[in-house]
Amino acid sequence: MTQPIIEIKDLALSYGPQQAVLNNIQLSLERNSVTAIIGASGSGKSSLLRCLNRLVELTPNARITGDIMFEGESIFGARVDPTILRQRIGMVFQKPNPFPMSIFENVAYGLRLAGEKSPRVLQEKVEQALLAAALWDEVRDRLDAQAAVLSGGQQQRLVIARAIAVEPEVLLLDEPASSLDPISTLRIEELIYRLKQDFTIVVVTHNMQQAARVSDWAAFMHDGTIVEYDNTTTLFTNPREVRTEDYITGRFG
Amino acid sequence: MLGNEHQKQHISGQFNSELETLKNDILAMGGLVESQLTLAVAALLEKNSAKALLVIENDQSVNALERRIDQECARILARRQPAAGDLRLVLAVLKINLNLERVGDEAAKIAKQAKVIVESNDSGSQFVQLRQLARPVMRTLRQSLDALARSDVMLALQIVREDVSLDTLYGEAMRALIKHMQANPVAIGTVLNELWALKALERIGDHASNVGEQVIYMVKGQDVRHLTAGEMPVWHSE
Ligand SMILES: Nc1ncnc2c1ncn2[C@@H]1O[C@H](COP(=O)(O)OP(=O)(O)OP(=O)(O)O)[C@@H](O)[C@H]1O
Ligand SMILES: [Mg+2]
Repeated sequence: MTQPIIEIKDLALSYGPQQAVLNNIQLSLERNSVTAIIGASGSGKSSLLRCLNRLVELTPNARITGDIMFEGESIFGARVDPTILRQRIGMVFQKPNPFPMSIFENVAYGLRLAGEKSPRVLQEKVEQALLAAALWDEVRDRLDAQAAVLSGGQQQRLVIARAIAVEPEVLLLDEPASSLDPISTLRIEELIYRLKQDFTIVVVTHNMQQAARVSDWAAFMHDGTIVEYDNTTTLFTNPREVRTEDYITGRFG
Repeated sequence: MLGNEHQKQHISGQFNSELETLKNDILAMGGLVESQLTLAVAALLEKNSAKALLVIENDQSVNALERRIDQECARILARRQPAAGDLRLVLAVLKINLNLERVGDEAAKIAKQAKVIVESNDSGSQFVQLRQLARPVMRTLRQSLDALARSDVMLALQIVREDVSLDTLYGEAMRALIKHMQANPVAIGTVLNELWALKALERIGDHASNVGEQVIYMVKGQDVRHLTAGEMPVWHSE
């Protein structure tokens, strides 16, 4: 692996006095690659994603120890502005959450937040993002319609367009294809494959076959720790750890 | 036990039983072609055409079982999308199946040569060379099936390593037969048949070695094909 874009060191997280939900996390993310995070419900996948852009700090009582290096610098450094960090490390949430506004405004939202005022630039960037998210053809004639009228799969691609409009360097996708039909799911996967040319992608998924299809690297989480991290082919054909084997082959743990 | 080193059950009982069926069938395939080979060699050495005919007839069952195992593998791949050890099991079974079916083909070839030799009424040959090669080849096939049944990597590795010595034995036997043929031109017909049978035995040795390689892949996830003796990984018995 060349110089990783993100390096997680001894990361631990707790949401209060209860026991930690993340423990001793070490992980290096390769630039322009897709890393899949798999693991049972409650194992800490979403929590780990939320650490990467410091979103977790918005949860009261959340306590992080350890460090996360992004392009060689700690994301917890005094000079780091969390808002700017979240622009550079974008996130798409587990449930598609379009804002109650038009399709256009949904995608323009982050750009306006970042201070973009020129209608021409906004128009151009919204179109680019919708094209990249493979949604443009389906919405070009109704950009002023409410986002809520879109189908589930279209909403999912809309929130991806919203995330990539601000041109982040890293894209965090939490279950981007849950509750989608197989064709929409394949579209999202195809999209992930194309997007990795421009972004580094971390995708959380419950669908093992999906992780095997889209990712270059895969991490298996269990009880807040990373049990195994390897290139995807190795992890799915010849995992080192019995716990990984049991999980991906569907055996009793 | 064939397959996984640890014996945890799948959450899906149905998947469990599909894998069990597959394991049983590939072992049955091994047993079938092994008895075909034993019978074919006996037909030849005893000049018994009844046994030879039986082998030729039984080849149908070998082919039928080969098809069934392939179908089971295809069904598991399509419906279960197996991963890790399960995936390696299915991939290895596919290849082992192919190799065992070829062992069956070679056994049938030996039986056909036996039939021709018996019918030619040329009782001159004592099959010295065939006897010399048949014994170690049959032993190697037996060992490869044991290695499969017990997921025994050490035994599999030994088989793969020793394949060269079978090849050497074959080379020696072939040269001896050719010499014999040159010295006794009248025996050419029979010796040619013997040479074909000898070649079939040598191929069976190769297939047994391939089974050994697949057992190693199945258990360890390592591809040891086309490695020289020095490149072979070293494992310690557990
Ligand atoms: N805001 C919160 N406050 C307290 N505990 C939380 C909070 N968010 C998550 N947790 C706890 O942290 C643990 C990990 O949750 P997380 O959402 O990261 O899991 P996950 O792997 O994403 O699960 P899923 O696959 O179901 O989305 C769980 O035990 C959960 O209850
Ligand atoms: Mg989650």
